[in-house]
Amino acid sequence: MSMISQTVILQAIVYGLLNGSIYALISIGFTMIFGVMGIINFAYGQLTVVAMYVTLFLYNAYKIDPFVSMVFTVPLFFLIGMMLYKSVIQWMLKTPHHIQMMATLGMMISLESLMLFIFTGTPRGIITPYTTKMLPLWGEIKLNFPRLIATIVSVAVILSLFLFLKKTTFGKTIGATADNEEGAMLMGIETHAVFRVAFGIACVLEAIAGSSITAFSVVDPYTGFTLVTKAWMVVVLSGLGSIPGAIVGGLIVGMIEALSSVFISASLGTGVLFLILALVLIFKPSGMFGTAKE
Amino acid sequence: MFHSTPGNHSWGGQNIKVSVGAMMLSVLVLVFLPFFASSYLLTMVITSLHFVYLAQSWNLLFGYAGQLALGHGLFYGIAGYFSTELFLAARVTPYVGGFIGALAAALFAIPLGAILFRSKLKGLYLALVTFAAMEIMKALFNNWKYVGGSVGIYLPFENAPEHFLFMSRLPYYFIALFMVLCMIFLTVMIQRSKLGHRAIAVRENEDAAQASGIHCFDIKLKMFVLSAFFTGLAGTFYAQFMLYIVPEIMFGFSNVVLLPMLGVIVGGRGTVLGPIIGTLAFSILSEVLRRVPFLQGPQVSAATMMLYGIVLTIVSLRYYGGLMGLMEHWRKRHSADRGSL
Amino acid sequence: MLLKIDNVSKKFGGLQALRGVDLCVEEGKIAGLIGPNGSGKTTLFNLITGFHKPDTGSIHFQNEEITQLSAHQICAKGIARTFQIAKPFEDLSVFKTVTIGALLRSKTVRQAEEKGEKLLYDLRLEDKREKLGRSLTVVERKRLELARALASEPRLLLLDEVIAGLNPIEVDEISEILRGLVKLGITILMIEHVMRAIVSLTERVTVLNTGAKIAEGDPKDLLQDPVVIEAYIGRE
Repeated sequence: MSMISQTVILQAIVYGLLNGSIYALISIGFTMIFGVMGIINFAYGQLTVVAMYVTLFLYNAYKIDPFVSMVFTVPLFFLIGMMLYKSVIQWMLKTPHHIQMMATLGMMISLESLMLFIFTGTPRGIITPYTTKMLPLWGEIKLNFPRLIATIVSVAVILSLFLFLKKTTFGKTIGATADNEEGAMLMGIETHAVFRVAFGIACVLEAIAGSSITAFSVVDPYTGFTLVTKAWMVVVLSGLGSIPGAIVGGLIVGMIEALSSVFISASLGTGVLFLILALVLIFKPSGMFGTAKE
Repeated sequence: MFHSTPGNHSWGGQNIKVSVGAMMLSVLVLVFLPFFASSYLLTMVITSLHFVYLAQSWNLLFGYAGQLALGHGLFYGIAGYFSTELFLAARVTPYVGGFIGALAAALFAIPLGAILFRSKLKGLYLALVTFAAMEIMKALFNNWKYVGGSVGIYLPFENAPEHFLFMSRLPYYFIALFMVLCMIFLTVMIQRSKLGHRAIAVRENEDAAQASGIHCFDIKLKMFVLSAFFTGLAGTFYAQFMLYIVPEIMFGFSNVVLLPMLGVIVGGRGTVLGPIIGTLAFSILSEVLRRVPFLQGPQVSAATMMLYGIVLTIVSLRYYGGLMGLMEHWRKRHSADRGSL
Repeated sequence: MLLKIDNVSKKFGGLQALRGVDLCVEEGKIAGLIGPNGSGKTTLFNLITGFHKPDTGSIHFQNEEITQLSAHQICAKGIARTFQIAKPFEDLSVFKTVTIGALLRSKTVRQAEEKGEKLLYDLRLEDKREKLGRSLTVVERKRLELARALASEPRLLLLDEVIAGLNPIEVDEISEILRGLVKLGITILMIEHVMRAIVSLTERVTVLNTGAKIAEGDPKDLLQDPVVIEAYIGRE
């Protein structure tokens, strides 16, 4: 009988929290799109992959550090997000959810296939001077340096987003429109403009996640699907439309994943997550923190 | 005979002669061409027929009962593994083992369906839960040493017709073709039956269906189990044809669900020919793209998928009838002067 | 008494939709159910037909308790309904829709189709036979709702605002059809806002307001009743 040492467990928890912060970032974007404009976007996560490839390119061609490349990817993806909204997403606003699912599934398939077409399925990665650098945390527990930076960036971004939504006028407008679209329209708020920006922000979150992940992990076209699955697990657990829920949910999912790898196996861990997803959907569809926007 | 969902059209007298003639021609082609086909072409056709069959099975649940289930790999895998184990461990011939496996899949579908349809899960959430169920099964099988875990199981490459093993591809072709023809027959039977009519009522509007005396739960469960059974049979076929099964493929969304789903939606759900046309179009498109000079192998499938993804988006947003619906639309426009309506 | 509703109440979340309602419908008659918007009329229909279950009370049909039965079982027992906002089968033709309605009492699809044909003819819908649910006008949808309900050969027909929105000719047509149904032995309970139709068609009317029964009796008398008038004016 093997004893799993406390160190290994703690290391797993730390690892889980680090990953969880990225999941949280992704899930916030996903849940925001639903919370603000009521759209279930299965193609979410694909732009993260695009961002990854862009970051890859910038590093390979110009030696730009993945975290630094956010300076380019963030505004770029904001614009891409707004364009996507204007061209495709806005037509999905009033359609039933299962239609949205199929339509965005189609978009997901197209984008993933496009990536496959251009880059093939071979995983690619970058090696920066600090990719494998480990920082000691406490005792024998170490932190992978780029993952740590990614987490710090995620936390910073989440905090800024919070401040933006709660303190700035435009942020509050987004919140108001999310809560009551008709009321907002009556007040003269241009809902389309609000949605456009919100969608842009969600895509920015994807860009940040994408650039961050590139710093410590390999990239392939299928990552998008894995990510949106994780986002689903998070939002189902925490309730669609809840941003605080997405944060907590992201961390929980990260930890369950990490701890499963230690105690059972990675693939069973995925199975466990899916089991939780299924059970929550069957017994409590509004999730733990549910806002029941349905 | 081949009704499409909108309305109750039977094809006009003129058209029947044409379609019977076309059918006979295609029967001749189907029976004799394989003897002249290259090994590559034959494999491609067998694979296409396999997906067509899967599309037809999926169509029973989605096209007729309107339930979006994304986890059909569950039944494919359960049946495929069951029949393979029965064969390798107990020398049970896969012809029988396949039915037992499909039965196992159907039996599994009963409690699963009961839970799914008892709960108020609709549309999107049903899709997610069925997908999750498939992933859970995949994880379980990946960690189950007895069935080979993530390494998978190999079947022997030998000529043993009594064990559903052939070294030549021809028998597989005829079996696959036979399966498709059976599904055509079954779909027509269902479409004309009380079950079929009730199923489309459930698909269109559950409240109205209930008010008309239809027990929606019952109908959904029946179609679910039927769909599971026939999908299961395909799992056994796959095992016997590819001679290698592994959870990633048997319980894999991309392998079992994606293409059949696209085929049904693009071709026209709830019709007999829709799933066939939609799925075949994919293969044909692939072959066409393969001829394009600068496209490499894997790029071809990626390109085809990409186009289908776009079509899926357009179809779900604009036009639910798919290719069959489009054809109906044109026919109606051209028969407007017959003054029947 | 064909239908007997005893002390039925229903609460949705914080809203008391029905409180202690009693109602009886005599066989072979047309009864009316009126009241301002939100008084619980459709909720009562939903309870009778099994779409919801009452919190208290019981419902008896032909002396059999049907309170806890589900919607499809109640249809099988012989109660059919139309919906206030029509629920057509969008992608199916009028003919297919009626056929489906007739399946309940038919052994084969062929038999159901024959019944469907006749029903379309009787309700003057045969020229709309191939029209899809999605392309029907509101008036046509209501007619189809009625056809689908009749296809299940009910003893009791619950009509939810079949008259509203029809022009005078259509109103007369429907009235004629309804009177014809009664001659065939079908009992009708109708929710309606069009008072002229209530007065001309029904012999007995029950009035609901905010979930409770406030009056019952002959429609002509009730429309003069100050309590009833107040209920409507107070609401509008």
